[in-house]
Amino acid sequence: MGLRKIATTVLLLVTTLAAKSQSSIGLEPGLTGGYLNTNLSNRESSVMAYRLGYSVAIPFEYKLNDWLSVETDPGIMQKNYSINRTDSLEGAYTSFINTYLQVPVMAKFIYGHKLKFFANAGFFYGYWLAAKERGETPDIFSATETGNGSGQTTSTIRYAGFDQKYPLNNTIDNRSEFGWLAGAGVQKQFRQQYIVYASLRLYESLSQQEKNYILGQIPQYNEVLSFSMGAMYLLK
Amino acid sequence: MGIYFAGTLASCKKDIPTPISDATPTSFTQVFNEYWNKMNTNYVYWDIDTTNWDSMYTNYLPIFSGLNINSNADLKRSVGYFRQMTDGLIDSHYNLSFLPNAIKDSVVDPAIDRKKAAGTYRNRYSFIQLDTTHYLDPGFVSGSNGTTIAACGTIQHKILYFTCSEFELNTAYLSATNNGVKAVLQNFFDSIQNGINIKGIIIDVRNNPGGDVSDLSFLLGHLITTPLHFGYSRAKADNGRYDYTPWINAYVTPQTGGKAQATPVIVLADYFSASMAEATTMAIHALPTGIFVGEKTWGATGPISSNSLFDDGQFTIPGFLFTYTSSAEFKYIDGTIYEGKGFSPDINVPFNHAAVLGNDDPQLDSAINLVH
Repeated sequence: MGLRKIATTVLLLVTTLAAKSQSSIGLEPGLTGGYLNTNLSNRESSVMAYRLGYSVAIPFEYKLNDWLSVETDPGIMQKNYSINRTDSLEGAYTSFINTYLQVPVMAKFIYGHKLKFFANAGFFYGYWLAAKERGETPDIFSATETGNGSGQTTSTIRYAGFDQKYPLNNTIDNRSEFGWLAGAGVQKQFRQQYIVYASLRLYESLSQQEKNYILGQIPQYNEVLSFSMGAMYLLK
Repeated sequence: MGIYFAGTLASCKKDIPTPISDATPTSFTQVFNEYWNKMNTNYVYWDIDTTNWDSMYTNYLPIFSGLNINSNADLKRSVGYFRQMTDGLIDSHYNLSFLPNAIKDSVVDPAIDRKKAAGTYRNRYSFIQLDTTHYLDPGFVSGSNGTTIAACGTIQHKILYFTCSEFELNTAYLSATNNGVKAVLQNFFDSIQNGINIKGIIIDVRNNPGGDVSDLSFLLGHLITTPLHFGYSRAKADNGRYDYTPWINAYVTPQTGGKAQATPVIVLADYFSASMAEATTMAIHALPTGIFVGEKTWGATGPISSNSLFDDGQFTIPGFLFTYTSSAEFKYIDGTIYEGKGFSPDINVPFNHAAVLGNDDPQLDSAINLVH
């Protein structure tokens, strides 16, 4: 499904539901911790690591009854991760800064009175908008040997820094992503029309980050844990 | 609650299998799968290599699966199949050596095979004896540390000349024991610092197969006072065949006592100049006064290190074979990757066997004629 088609569908859905009561709209900034779920066990001195990013979304919720709503919060989400070098190469790393346009659709189960608890479950579609690479890598041409005067030598190598755009490659990079999400949080209503909330959510991609362009490919799936705080306005 | 929630969800993480094994193979199917997968992730030239590695899998897996690892005849057959699979690989460092007794004398070296098939291969020739005897002024210094031979002196009392048979210079220089290479290097460095009457420098890396990458700045850093940008390198970023780190700049670093050269710095290189000898050639060519005289080089430009530096490059199949291959891609400052092609001279002077038999070195003659 094309990005334009999805955006149009979501806009139509939001507009239609907003025209009715029991709906709310808001703003939800947050922090993300991204991770690329793959297998690097053959790479002896590399480990995958979480890397922080941000998210910002416009949540829209339609209340079906006191304990159940449907919710979507289209927005921008970073799905970053790092490959860190270990042992004698500690300090070298490559961070991948990946920005997605994401549209989740989920059910929201609500429990409580003044301070309410909620849980979400649903699916999301993401489109990989842009990518950057940052890091430090061993510069092999910086290799030097120094001696202690008695014939013992020490080899050293410097790291070279980089911070540049990664040009997405449509042969390799799978720009469309689909997955499931689950989350939980707390919310409180003020002055009848305002709701503030905090939410913790896990996004697990079911589609690989790279296309199946070669044999013997080791799968790579994005995984994001997000923490966000938001405010919503009840439409009447 | 948040911590419990995160922990519970994290336990849902998929267990991703890997096809890459490091086990000692007990069948040719295992040998093939281990080799094919390690090549898939460790080889650094997939972005420009025209070898269809996926086709190799579909074509050769059934063949290897039909071989018996306990049969000497099949072990010998397997060498031929490895040769066929790798004959198009552009990495000109690339070679396979084998561990089972029946094939331990076998080597697969696609670059040599390719050059022989093209009819361009010739025998090596070491110029050190000829040039020190017939070209260098009296008083030149030459010596060895047991593996590397080096010489330094002047030609026509105006050109500083240096040559070495391979690059183990820094190690020799730092050695606790006196050796001939150390004396040659000291003479070369002193001559650069005090070379008031030097009108040009010739660095001769002909017939030099390369060596330690730290020799690049150690030697050429004496000819500069600011970092010399001469190219770019990059390695594999993760297991994807086309997943690379960004290109980073490759520099020659100035050394203490270095002196920028306003006069010509000429590098002599030939068909057998490979690896570090090619890096030296390209770095000198990038100097403001650098000139390359001789023949197109071997074409093994990717630097070599242990697998652990980038988690790529050379690897073993335990008990069966060792794969020697580049650890990183190298791109010259002009944006061209010369791997498998060789770096072309500014002034092409082909090797002349008849001339050297007559104690003449046309390539060195050409370099001398550039210094006035």
